[in-house]
Amino acid sequence: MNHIVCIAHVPDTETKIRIAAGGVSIDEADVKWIVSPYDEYALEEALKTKEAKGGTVTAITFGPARADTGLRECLARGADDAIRIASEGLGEVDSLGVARLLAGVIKTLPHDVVWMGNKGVGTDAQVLVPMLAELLDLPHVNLVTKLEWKDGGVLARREIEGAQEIVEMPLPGVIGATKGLNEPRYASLKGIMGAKKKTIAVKTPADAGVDPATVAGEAVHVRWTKLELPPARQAVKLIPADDPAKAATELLRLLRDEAKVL
Amino acid sequence: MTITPAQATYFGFSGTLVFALLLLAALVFFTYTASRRIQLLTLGGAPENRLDHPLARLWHMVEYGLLQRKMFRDPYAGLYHALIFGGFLVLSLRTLMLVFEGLFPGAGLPFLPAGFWEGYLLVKDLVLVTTLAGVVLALARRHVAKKERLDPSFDADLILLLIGFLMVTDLGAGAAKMALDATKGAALTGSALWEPLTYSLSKNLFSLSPSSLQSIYFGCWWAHLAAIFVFANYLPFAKHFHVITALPNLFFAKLEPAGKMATFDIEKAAEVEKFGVSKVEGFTWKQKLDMFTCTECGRCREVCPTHLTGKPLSPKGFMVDLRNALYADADALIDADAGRGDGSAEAKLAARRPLIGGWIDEETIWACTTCRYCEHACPVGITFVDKITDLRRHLVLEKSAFPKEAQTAFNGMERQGNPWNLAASDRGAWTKDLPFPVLTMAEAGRANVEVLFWVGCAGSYEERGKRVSQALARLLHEAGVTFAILGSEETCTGDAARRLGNEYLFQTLAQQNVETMKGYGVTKIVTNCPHCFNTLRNEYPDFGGTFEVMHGTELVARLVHEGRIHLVNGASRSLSFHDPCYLGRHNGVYDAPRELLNAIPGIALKELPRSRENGMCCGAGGGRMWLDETIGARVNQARFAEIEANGTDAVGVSCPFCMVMLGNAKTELSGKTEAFDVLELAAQALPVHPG
Repeated sequence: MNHIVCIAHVPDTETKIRIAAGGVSIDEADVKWIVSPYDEYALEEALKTKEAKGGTVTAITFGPARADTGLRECLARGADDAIRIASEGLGEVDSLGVARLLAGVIKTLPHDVVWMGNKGVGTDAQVLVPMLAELLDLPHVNLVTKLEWKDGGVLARREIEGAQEIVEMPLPGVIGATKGLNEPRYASLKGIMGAKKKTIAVKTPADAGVDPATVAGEAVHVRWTKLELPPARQAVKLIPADDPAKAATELLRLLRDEAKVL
Repeated sequence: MTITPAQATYFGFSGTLVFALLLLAALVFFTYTASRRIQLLTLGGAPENRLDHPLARLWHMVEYGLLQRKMFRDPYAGLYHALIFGGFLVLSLRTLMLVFEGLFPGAGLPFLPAGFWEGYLLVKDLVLVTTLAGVVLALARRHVAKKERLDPSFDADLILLLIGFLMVTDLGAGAAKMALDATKGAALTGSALWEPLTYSLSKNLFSLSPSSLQSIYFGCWWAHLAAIFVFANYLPFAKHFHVITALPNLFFAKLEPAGKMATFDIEKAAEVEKFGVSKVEGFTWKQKLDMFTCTECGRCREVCPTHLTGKPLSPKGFMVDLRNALYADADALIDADAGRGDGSAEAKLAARRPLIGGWIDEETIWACTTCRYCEHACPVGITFVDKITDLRRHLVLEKSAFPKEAQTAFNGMERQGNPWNLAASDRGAWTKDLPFPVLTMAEAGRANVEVLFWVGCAGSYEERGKRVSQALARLLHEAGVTFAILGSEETCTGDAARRLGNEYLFQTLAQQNVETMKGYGVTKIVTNCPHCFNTLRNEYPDFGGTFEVMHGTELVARLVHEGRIHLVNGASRSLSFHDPCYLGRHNGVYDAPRELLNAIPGIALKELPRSRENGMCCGAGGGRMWLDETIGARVNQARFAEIEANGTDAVGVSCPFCMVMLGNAKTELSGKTEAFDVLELAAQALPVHPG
């Protein structure tokens, strides 16, 4: 079985985000980049499946050269191959553009399951899973928290609001993973050293059979107009709890007079 | 004149010949066993040089071996062991004498002056009895006044009885010979003087017939020598191998700082794809010598914080399991190493019980807090932590198999430079509340900085740790010491990563930090985290970073001593002091925090029953800070209970991890004794400057 895992290379979730001059992008200085935690669930499930049933795992991303470190991480954890679709020179590309580029390359590869996280944690709009499935003309199941393998397909449990849904999907197909599906592994040093020796295939939009004009420039449908940081959190006010009755009175007073929520 | 046993003939064979054959057989068998044991030591493991500083090594051997420095911590055991050990030292010459007598009947040892022997006989005569007394006391400890640390052992009883047998037969032979001489009219005045005990024993034998006396004499003589041969040949198979290996083990002991872990070349290891140790033969020869040397006395076990709280790790059990694993496949290992045979040795090794998961459970490997109390307790210089961490290295680097919680810490260290997973850019944020600016090295410039304040992750991010960092900054500021921090350029030293087996992550962090500090020309560092202290001081030199590293309490105590800081205010309180393992046992810093505490007005220090070298771990060392503690009682609570029992108003600590662990224990147990960092107490005592 051939697994393709799409990953996003995003700022570490602990990064203190600063907005860059111009106000529409983030300041990338001192940012530590990681594989999106949701894509890590996708990669882990693909690796586990490969280990149990055989096959290959190919990690793929769209991004600048720094995204190679994310792909190396995937190789270190056990992916067989890695492909980067170079973003250099394209300027801004929106989710649909990324989906077109990924789909273009994936079509050139044998693929039984296409994996990714249900979201990146960067600038994506959580729409890649359905978009990619549509462009590949494959079924998809998203927000998967549990997966069982059936003959010719999968039985997936997915989170919906207030309930869980069990979906049967034939393969090939696209699976969007989310938190709860598994515990992503930590790369062994053996894996890290092995990954250093592998080459990352770098592809252009042309390799994907995509005309840059259809994904960049005028073709971009979603644009950032302004970025703003959330307001700084106010200092916590602690009420001493020595006397519960007094504390309750004080809490009520604060909620009414200061917070004005009562 | 009485003939000696070797001068007699036995079934037509001369006694000398019989003796020579016996001796030869004993020597041949012993040489064979010894060569097999040496082969077992040297095969498989990485090379290790333990011949540097020979004089220091020799002294170490004399101090801990011949002078038995650690043995008297248990006075009773120290006494009987010294009696038996003294017996061995004295009587080895006696054995040589007897062997010589067997080979060259009638001749004395040629190389010693005649007068020497009389004095020696007197000593020997006394030592035969004191050794016997030692054996009796040892048997009493094993069977009457039992200790938890000792396990019932057939081996131990056998060896003790054999030693007793040697003494009795020596005495018996001597006394019977003396009585026999007397029946032949020889004057015994000299003997009465120089061998008084043998003499008084022999008087009880005067009534026996000469032939009976000769039978006793010959019987005891042969039995004694045969027992020596059996004894020497049995030792390598028994737990009493230490009789032979303890002195070499002490000679080859680690002379490097105790807290320094061995660095290995990752690139080189990657070529053979082997990291850490997964098979028992993969330990170095010295590590295997440790296994040979363990006598199962259990001094390590009775102090081990994880054993005492009911976890599966007991240092003694661990060492014995390693040895058993080594011995179980010794023949196959030696055959496979020599490359001889039909591949059956290799097949046997392929099918053997695995070391990790077979002999040693993974839980055992992760239980260790690396506090080194066991190593402090061991009288024969066995180290345990190196073996634990070698196994962890294999699990992490090759198998990526470790407690899940560690992954969060690893990721944090890797990505944000701290195991708390907090933003690297916030590392210097603790300085904001101070009434004076704290500059980074980049802001201050190297020429204007006396000492780099290495804050550490806990001091930068952990709430209480930040207050302690502020305290040190205030103390340095008060003394007029120009210092700077690295701010967001500082990352975790990697201590926890290394002790959890993640050598790759550790080396990455170490190289990065050394490069940063060298870039600023740093020469002096002060840090209040004993883990950073140990790593910076003892481990960074391997990465080209040699600095003068001081612990916060060392520097501040010095500043107080020099009169640069005056501690004037102090609340009157009684205080216990909890020694951090990585400051104390790992680095020998015991006095500085105490000196500082004694300089603070109002503080009355009351030592804990277990303090200094015997301080008990808080449970956070060895990366355990980042792991869940699910088996047995909690180490921090066990230590906190000891502190509560000391009955002081508060407890002083000098490590941010001890602070967290003891603080948690106080909450968990609804205890009374609050923990303060020594530097917090010192900063509270600073004079208040108006304005």
